Order: sequence, then C-alpha cells, then structure tokens
Amino acid sequence: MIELRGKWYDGHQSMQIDAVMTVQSDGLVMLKRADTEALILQQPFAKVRITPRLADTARFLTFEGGGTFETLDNDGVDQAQTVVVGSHWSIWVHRLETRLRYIIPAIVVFILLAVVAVIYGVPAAARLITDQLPPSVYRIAGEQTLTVLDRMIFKPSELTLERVQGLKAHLQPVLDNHAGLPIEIVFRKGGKVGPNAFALPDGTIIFTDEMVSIAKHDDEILAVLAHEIGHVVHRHGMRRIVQDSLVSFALLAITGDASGVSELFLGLPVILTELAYSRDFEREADLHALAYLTEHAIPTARFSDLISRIDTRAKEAGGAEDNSWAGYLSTHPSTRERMEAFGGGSMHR
Amino acid sequence: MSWYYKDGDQVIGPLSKAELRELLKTGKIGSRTLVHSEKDQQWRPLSEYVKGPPSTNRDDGPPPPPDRPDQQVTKPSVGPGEIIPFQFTGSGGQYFKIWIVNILLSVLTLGIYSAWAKVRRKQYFYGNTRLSGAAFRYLASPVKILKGRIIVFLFFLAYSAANQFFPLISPAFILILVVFLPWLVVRSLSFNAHNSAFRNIRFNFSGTVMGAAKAFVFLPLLVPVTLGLLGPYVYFRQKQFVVANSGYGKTHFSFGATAGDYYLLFVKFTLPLIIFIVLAAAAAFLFAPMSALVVAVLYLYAFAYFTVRSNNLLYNSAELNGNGFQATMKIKDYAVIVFTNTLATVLTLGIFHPFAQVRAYRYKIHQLALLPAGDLDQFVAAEQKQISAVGDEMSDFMDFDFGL
Repeated sequence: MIELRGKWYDGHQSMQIDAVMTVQSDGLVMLKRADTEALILQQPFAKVRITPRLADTARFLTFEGGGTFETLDNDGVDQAQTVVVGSHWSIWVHRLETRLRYIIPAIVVFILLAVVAVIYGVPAAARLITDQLPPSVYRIAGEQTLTVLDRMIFKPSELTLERVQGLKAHLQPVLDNHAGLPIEIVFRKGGKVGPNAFALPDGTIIFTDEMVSIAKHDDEILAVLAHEIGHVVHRHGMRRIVQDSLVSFALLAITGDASGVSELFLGLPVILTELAYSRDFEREADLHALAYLTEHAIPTARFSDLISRIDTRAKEAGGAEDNSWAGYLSTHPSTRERMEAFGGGSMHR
Repeated sequence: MSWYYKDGDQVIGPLSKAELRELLKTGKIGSRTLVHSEKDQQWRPLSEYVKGPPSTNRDDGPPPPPDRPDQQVTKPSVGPGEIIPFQFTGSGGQYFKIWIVNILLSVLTLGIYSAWAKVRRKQYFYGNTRLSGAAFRYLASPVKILKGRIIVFLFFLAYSAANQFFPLISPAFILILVVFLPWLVVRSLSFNAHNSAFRNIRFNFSGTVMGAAKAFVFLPLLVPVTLGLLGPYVYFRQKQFVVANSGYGKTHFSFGATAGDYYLLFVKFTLPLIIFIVLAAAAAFLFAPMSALVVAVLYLYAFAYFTVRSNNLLYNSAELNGNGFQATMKIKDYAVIVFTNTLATVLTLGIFHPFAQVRAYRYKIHQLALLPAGDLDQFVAAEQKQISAVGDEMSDFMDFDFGL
C-alpha cells in the first residue's frame, strides 16, 4: 500500500483541502481528508490520469469527475504507477533530463551529426529533390525571377543590335555544344549590380551591358557563358533555393523550442552555410568552364583576366558609396584561388 | 493606531493601516520596508506585520515574533491587509537539462518532439510557480500543439515557395497575416489562458476579434498620424484588452490603470532618455570609443526601465474580485540581471540561455505578491471550450507576445 500526501481540488471550486491518497495493492485508490479522515472518493487507479514527471514540480492526478489531487511526492507517484499500471514512456524523458552522463555524450553526437548533415546531408537531399522536380517548375521559377529582376533591378539593354548579334554568333558554338539544354541568352542594363552574369533555373542566362563592355575580348564573355552554363547543368539555381529552404526550415523546426537563442544564433549559421554552398556552386561552375575552354583550345586565362579586371575595378571603387563591383565577387571564391585554377597568373600582361 | 515607515533616512507618517495598505498595493513600499506602529517603537520590516508566507518560502526574512496581535488567528485563511508572495522553486541547472534534452529529442525526431518540448518547458515554469501551497499548471496537449505547428509550418512553406517562385504574390501572405492578426491575438490569448490552471480551476480569455482589431490594428495605425502622441494610449488599450478580458474561473480580472498612468510612464521614460542621449552625444564628441559603451548602457537602461515599470503598473492595476497584486521589481536589480544574462549567454555561445531564462523569471515571480481580499477558496470553475493551437503557434512562430 502506498500513501501520498497532497491537496485536493474538486474542479468546481478553488477550495483547497489537505488530503491523503492511498493506493491499495488491488489497484483501488482511496482519497481521504487529512484532518477528519472522511472519505472523499475511491476509484480504480487505472482510471486516474497522471501528469508525467518533470523535475521536482508537483504531479497532478486527475480523477473521473474532474477532481485533482496535487502532490510533491514524485517518488510515491512513480512507485504507485509502476506497481499498478506499469511504466510510462515519459519516465525515460525524465531520466534523460536528470542525468548529465547521458546528456553530455548525446550533445557530442548531436554536434557531429549536425556538421555531417550540413556538409553532406543537405546538398545530397537538395540534389535528390531538384532531380525530381518537373521542368515546368524550372520554367516558372526562371520566368518569375526574370520578371522581378526586370522590375526591380534591370533596365532594357543599351547595346547596339549589331553588337548583340555579333556576340550571339560568337557564342553560338557553346550553345551547340550543349544542345540538350534550353539555354537562352539575354542582355540587360545591370545598373546597381554592375558587370555581372546570372543563370536562371530555366536556362536563361543574363549578361549585363556592363559585363559586355568590361570584356576586352569576346572569348572572355564566352568563358563566362561556359561558367554560367555550368550552373544550369548542375541546376544550381534550384539547388540553392531548396538548400536554403532546407537549412532555415530545419533550424526553425528544431529550435522551435529554443526561443531566445534563435534570435541570437539562428541568423548566423544560415548565412554562413548559404555562403559556403554558394562558393561550392561557383567552384563546380568554374570546373565546367575550365573543361569547356580546355577542350576547345581557348586560353583559360580569358576567364581569369576578366575576373581580375572586375576585381581591380572593385578595389578602385572600394571607397565609393555604391560599390556595385563587389556584388559579383562576394558570393564567389577568392579571385586568387580562381586565377590559379585558370592559370591567369602566367598569362597576365 | 497610526503607523510610520522609513523611506531612506526619512520617516513618513502618521498613516492609517488602510493608507499603508494602499502604499503597499501601489508598490511604493514593499515587504522589506521598515515600519513601526505607535505601540511598538521598534523598526521592523513590514513583512513581520502582515501575515508571513507559507512555510515553503525560504528567503523572506526571519520568522515573525510570536507576540504580534495580528497573528492570533486560528483560521488558516488569510485576512485583509496580508500579502501572499508568489514563489519560484525551479533552478537553472535543472532547467538546463530539460532544455538540452528538448533540443536533442527535437532534432532526433526531425522537429516532431518540439511540441512535447514546448509543453515540458511551459510545465516546468508553471509547475515551479507557486502561491499559497499550490502550483500553477500548464495543460495544453502536445498533439494539439503539433497540429498547430504543422499548419503554421505549411503556411510558411507556401510563403517561402511563393517568395522564390512568385515573388510578386508574396506580399499577399503578409496581407493575410495583417487581416488575421486580431484573430491570432484572441486565439493565442485564449489558448494560453484556457490551458493555465491554478487549484484545478482554469483561466480563460473572453476578448473579441473586433476588440483585438481595435487595439492591435486600427489604433496603432493612428500612431504615426499623431506623430506618436497616441502611442502610450494605444499601449494602454492593448494592456487593458489583455487584462480586462482575462478571467479565472467565472471571475473576471479588472484593470484599474488609466491612460494617464501610461502617459506618465512614457514621460518619465522619455525625459531621462533625452538627457542620456545628450550625454552620449557629448561622450561621442569627446572620446569616440566611449560612445559605444554609452549606447549599450542607454539601451540596457531603457529596456530595464520599460520592462520594470510597465510590469509593475500592469500587476498593481490588476484586480480579481477584490484580490489585488503587488509587483515590486526594481530597475537597478533587473538591469543587473539582464546585463549579466546577456553577457554570460554570449560568452558561453548560448549555453547559459536556460540559466538566464530562469534567473529573469525567478526575479519577476519573487517580486510579485497577491493581496487577497479573503480566502482563495471561493472561485468557481467556468464552462470549458476547446481551442485549437493554430493561433498560438502562429504567434509563437512570429515571436509575438501578447501575454502578461
């Protein structure tokens, strides 16, 4: 027989009654007033709803009819529960919560898992998801992005028709080489974004007028095109969307409870992982361009020349208020790293 | 019989017992204020004259001497003029373990456990908040919270997808949120109140969506039009909406504060702020690195001032069928807690967060007391209704906090 002391509240009124609850070995619960020992009620223990154990907080035992017995005798309640109805899963949570020797190894494993998930898991999952998406999703994403860019950033291109046609003719062999891809080249005045090129998920590749005019040779544009096609081949646009969403939603779902810390620490890992993923994409695209240029005997330094020129302009404009040059570089690997990859150092004039 | 109390070196009085009660209620004096009566010429803390806290209380001074006439009551119930302090019995170390297990299990279950985690966190803080021998209780069902979370999650997934694929329609989602904001406010407050209980009687919230629309959408829209002059009034109306529509069982809370109280609070807040800003500007002019420090101090002071004064005013103006509340938070104490909490949380990369939460919460609870009108046995339960968790989860997700 187990005896518990606590307070009884009938659920209709806030009256507080000191009470003693006894659980008999046959599973019957008797509740009596502590002062007069008058019986309040008796019920089978199996019908009593018991709140899970949580640190040293009071347990609430709710009886049929809505009355509640409140007691701080946690061990007594656990004992009665185990003897009469068997163990409840929540007791394992309580054990975890009270024993640091389980928690500390768990934290270490968790951190390792998190690192592996961010480095390998998320990119792999994103690749899997993007492969499953129908072409219409890519088309919609591309069209919508272009509409917004046109409305917010770009202005119609100011290049002459001859220049555009000449350039397109020069670039045609690259497109022929990737006949399976729906590549379409468009030109826009970049304004705020300066010399830049974008690959949209549907295969549209945008060159800004500034990019065209900073190039000293059409092969430099061709190298950039090969780089951007690399983005299209590897579906980087869609993968970025999926990865960024995965990371932020995973963090939100997981830390949904860690309120407070989220504000302080949620933003940083998301931004850092996004930047790291972005650089990974650029490296992949660089490799694609490198392979194409080598294969077609075009000097790979065409690419590094252009990059270092943009880099120099960016540094010159460094102090200026509106540094449109930095945009293309910030999400890309360091210029030196890329120049080494493309052998720009030796070819440089 | 007349009474005197000490404010620093100053002796104030004579006052009647009723006047003393009034001062206690407004927070002008606290349980540690030294008082003496005509009869007894010795200074004693006020807590020795009002009925002491239940035996579980650990830090409220020595037990009262046996010879006080006020104490010769045989009935265990409390009489007028007595105060019952709220207590918090939790600890940072205990909560740290719960917090870390919550995070671990949420990760391992891909977020599903986060609903149970929320319930355990709330239950820990509620269950350790005690008043006159009884604990508060958080009753929300984790399954309901999970359903709410899934709906909110899908909504934001749709928003996020729209943001990527149809950026032009994503503002529509914001519009939906604004339109639904009053509904969210009411649902969130109802859910929380309905799932809070004390002595097996639930709290409730009876505010209407229209009332919430006025206090949280229409009136705030007028604030910029009036160059911010309406700000304190709007803030007052929001607090009034929350308190006056809350109830415990069949009994309703009333809110005695006036718009004037809130204007006074804002004026007292703004004047030192202006002086501070002038000082900060001067410091920046004299010695540039100083200005960062001054700005930090300024922010801390402003935050602590506002939280403390607004919290005290709210509780000291709330009444539940003659039962008053007394909140005695001090700006300096609270600022020290907030400052050390922030510092420690940053230095430990967030590990200190659960300790910080407990520290701040414990201070708030320990500075809160009930001024009962009689015994607490007379409250009657109200009829219960079912409330979904969607509104509360949405508010949680967006980090809204409408509560007290």
